[in-house]
Amino acid sequence: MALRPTNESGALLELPPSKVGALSIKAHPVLGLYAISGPEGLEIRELQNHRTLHIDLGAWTTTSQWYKSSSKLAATFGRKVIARDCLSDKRWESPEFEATLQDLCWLPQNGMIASTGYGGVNLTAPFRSTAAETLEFKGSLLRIAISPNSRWIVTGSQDSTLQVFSPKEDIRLEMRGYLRKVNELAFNTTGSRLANNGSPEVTVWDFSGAGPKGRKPLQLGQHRPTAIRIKWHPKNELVFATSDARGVVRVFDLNQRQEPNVESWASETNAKICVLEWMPDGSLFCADTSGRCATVSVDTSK
Amino acid sequence: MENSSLAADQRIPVTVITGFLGSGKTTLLNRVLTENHGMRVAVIENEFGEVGIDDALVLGSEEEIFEMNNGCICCTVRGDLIRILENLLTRKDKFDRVLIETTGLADPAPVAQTFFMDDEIRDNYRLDAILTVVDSLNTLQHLREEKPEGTENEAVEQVAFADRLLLNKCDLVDANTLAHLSKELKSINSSAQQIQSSFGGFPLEQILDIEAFSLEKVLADEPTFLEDTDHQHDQTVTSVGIELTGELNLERLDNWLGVLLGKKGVDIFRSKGILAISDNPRKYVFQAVHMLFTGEFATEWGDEPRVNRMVFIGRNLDRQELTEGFKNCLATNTKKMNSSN
Repeated sequence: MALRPTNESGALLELPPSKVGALSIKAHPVLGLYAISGPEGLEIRELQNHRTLHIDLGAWTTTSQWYKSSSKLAATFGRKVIARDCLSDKRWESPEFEATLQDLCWLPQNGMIASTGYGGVNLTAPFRSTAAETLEFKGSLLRIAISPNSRWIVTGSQDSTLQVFSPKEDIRLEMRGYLRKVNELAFNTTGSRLANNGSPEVTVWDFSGAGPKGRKPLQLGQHRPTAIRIKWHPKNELVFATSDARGVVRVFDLNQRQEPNVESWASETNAKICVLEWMPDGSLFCADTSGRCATVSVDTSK
Repeated sequence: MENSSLAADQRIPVTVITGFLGSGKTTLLNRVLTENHGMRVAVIENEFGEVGIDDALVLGSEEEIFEMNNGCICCTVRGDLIRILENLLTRKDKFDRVLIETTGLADPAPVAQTFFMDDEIRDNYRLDAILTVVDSLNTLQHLREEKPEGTENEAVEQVAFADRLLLNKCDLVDANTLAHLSKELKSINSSAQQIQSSFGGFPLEQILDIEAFSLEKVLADEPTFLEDTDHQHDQTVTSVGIELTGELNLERLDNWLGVLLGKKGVDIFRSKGILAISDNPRKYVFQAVHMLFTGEFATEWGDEPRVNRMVFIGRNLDRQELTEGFKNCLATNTKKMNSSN
């Protein structure tokens, strides 16, 4: 495996400023729309001309997520979740939860939304019901990932732990021992592995079969102080990439029979790489907080 | 425990302003926002939308206190502050210090603990000082207010947490009342320097970037603060200051503080110290909010006498027990000791 920059001198294009500010931006894979989440709310725009399609003002909006390739978008909105169907103009709102929400995720199998914050994981059914079920936790849950079969709901906590829920099987697990809060985690495409930050090493848990209970995780690589982004390869379930606050990108290949293969690349700016995405051609797109971007080719054949 | 020098601290200083409603916090804040002092201050205040006042950055927050899941009943953080301070990091070029205004009844502990408990906040921000604005006319009454059992007297807590006490509206009281107030405040919190003013006219250089959260700067400004102060009768919140000549064993000190704050951290609001560790030429700077504590080696002692100074502020403090515990941390346990509260 080898990492080679193909373009490391690019500058990011500036989008027209938004009234909502900008904490995260999510582009739709097909519809030519993008959603901006910010301290002041949520804005949905057309990609071609940046025209505003919908805007919801008045609440801290940490993130949004499109439901697969449909026209439905969900976003945290202060202490509520809001969902919009961008084609039919339908808007849905959850009840108000205990504190400002930190993250959310659609359950892939049934179109429900799991949102996290202080107090646990809230499960809601947008456009169908305003009722909510809460998987309780006394603490603040920062980030959520759901396995593709919706069996596992895994959250990273302010208390430097992973909190695992499997509501159907009534399973609750807690993974401790992290040095920092866990605010980045991701399942691979099959749901067999979950990788998360929280320590200089990235931890990889085996969620195949009966799940991670009793299994020792892999602890890989060294990021200082910890990985910022973790992205699994969209086609190879045992390859993932990470980035950190010092401009370092690493790609881990767990296909090796003995030690996993790790390759690194460091950006020119050494700035925090806050955007890391696999491109359709298998390369990695990286953007850092200094406004620079780079594309890095990843050759997994070597 | 980290081995770093405070002198090289590049983190953004944060000042927290507390004080009862009507004490003059907002007047002081408006001065910071409008006066031509050359400092770029980002202000976080409750229920205030983001607006620009003379190019200042003012952000609103809605107090969200989170308990932690670590079994410690007094470990809490302010979720709203974590969110806002993290977001501010993306605009680091627009400000060089932060000021947080709390509401009149807010408990300062979750604000202070946020700077201990959250990694990103701790990595990027330094709690510079907790300032409590005191209304010279009405504070004595608030301090003496009888509260139902199990509830806190917020005014006493805010005084206990302060690194500096800003006595405002001094023009509204006579010299006797002011002296009485000053004495009562000192008996609750002997380590906080008191500054008197009217109309929020405190010199800004005594408010911003003063490094008062640690004891080192406080001792430099007021080396006698550990001297004996008169007690008020029936007062449960007090300060205990201890001076101890000799060198401490770091392991014993760590163990003692760990056990002490683990058992009594609910009642010990603040503790801080400048300590001489055996075989180390640098000062060991210790500070804690309830059960959370940090310690780091700072500047060298040089020609200064290597005297350990420690202060505890809290409820129902046992001076003898604290002094004995501290004494047992000496590397050799036969050195001269004196203490005061």
